[in-house]
Amino acid sequence: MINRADGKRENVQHTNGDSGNVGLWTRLPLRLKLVFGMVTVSSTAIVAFGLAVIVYNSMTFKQQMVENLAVQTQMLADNCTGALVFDIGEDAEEVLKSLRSNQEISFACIFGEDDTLFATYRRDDAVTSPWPLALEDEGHRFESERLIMFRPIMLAGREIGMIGIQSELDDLSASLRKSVWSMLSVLAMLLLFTYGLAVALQRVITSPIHQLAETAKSISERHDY
Amino acid sequence: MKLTAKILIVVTVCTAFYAPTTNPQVEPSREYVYKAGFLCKFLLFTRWPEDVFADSNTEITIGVLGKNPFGDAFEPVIGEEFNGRPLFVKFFGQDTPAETLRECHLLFIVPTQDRTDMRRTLTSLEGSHVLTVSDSEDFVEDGGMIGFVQTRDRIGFEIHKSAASKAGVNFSSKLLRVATRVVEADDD
Repeated sequence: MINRADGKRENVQHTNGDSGNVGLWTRLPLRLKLVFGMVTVSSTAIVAFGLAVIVYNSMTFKQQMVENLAVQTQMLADNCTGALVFDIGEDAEEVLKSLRSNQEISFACIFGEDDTLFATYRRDDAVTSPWPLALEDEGHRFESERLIMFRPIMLAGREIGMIGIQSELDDLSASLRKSVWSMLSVLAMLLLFTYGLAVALQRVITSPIHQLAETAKSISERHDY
Repeated sequence: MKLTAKILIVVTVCTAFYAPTTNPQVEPSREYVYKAGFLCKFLLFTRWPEDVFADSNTEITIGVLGKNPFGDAFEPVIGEEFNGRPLFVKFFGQDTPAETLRECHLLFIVPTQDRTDMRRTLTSLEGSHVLTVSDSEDFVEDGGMIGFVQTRDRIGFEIHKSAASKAGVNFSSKLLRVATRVVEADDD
């Protein structure tokens, strides 16, 4: 059975004997095939673009997080030098308490030159992570739900300690969710628009074919050449 | 061995054995080795006018006026660089003229029985760029710049910021932050 341009069906013997998916596809009216094809191509492109945007946003956001946390860590490290040099742990903890204004940061630690724990900060509701942070080399790393950064505390060109900060990735998750929902919304709107456009365009293509089929039918039935 | 590591060793050893006391004569050597570490650290957080140093290789000098209470506490750090300058330590007798004392960048004044001696020394150093430090009682009130004080569980220090500013000596905010008290004006 094949589709005619006017959407009517016609029985035809398949020569290749494949009557599965190809048969289902062949049974569809041409106008639906055209619409389906255009919508599929468009939506694939839109989804691919959307995924690329999400991945790019995620990478950019992570980079920004690292840069922002690095600035904050450096400021804290600078402010802690006096406390570290003069061995005043309470003052270092006071410095770390300034992190309360940043809800993303759950833990922070300062280590002395001999690698001993010197001062700590823990957000009141932060209880899920290992505590305190173990001393690491300078750098940063992402875990599933957190970003951990370590930076040296320098004074007059000398390393006098190390500061470690752990930031939760709630903002990143929220940003990703927002991106996904935005993309889905745009995708839905674009699909509707694409569908409308495809319906209009398929008429341009199928009308001449339909007229041709009508003419052929007329010739065939009435022998009106 | 790193300079800060040496200071740390000095301070750590001293803090391990030093029991805070209101009478510094009970364990003077440990207390003063601890304070020697502080003096070295003050250098890291203090800026002098550029013309104080003849050239970039000029050493930075700590002077001790009076009977030396530090022993050889400075030995591990003499010659080490502080802010890019080698450290030198000089010891002066009580009768040393002010002109000689003015050659120091930081002068620790050992307390004497007569408080007027302290005031006289501080007066003689007026107009110089010498950072004056002492553990004399009310040293900051007498016009000194950094005075050691005994807090509950440790040795702290008070800073007379205005007196230092008058001498062209500027402290880092990191030092001011950890001071027990900062005096901003003469009448404070």
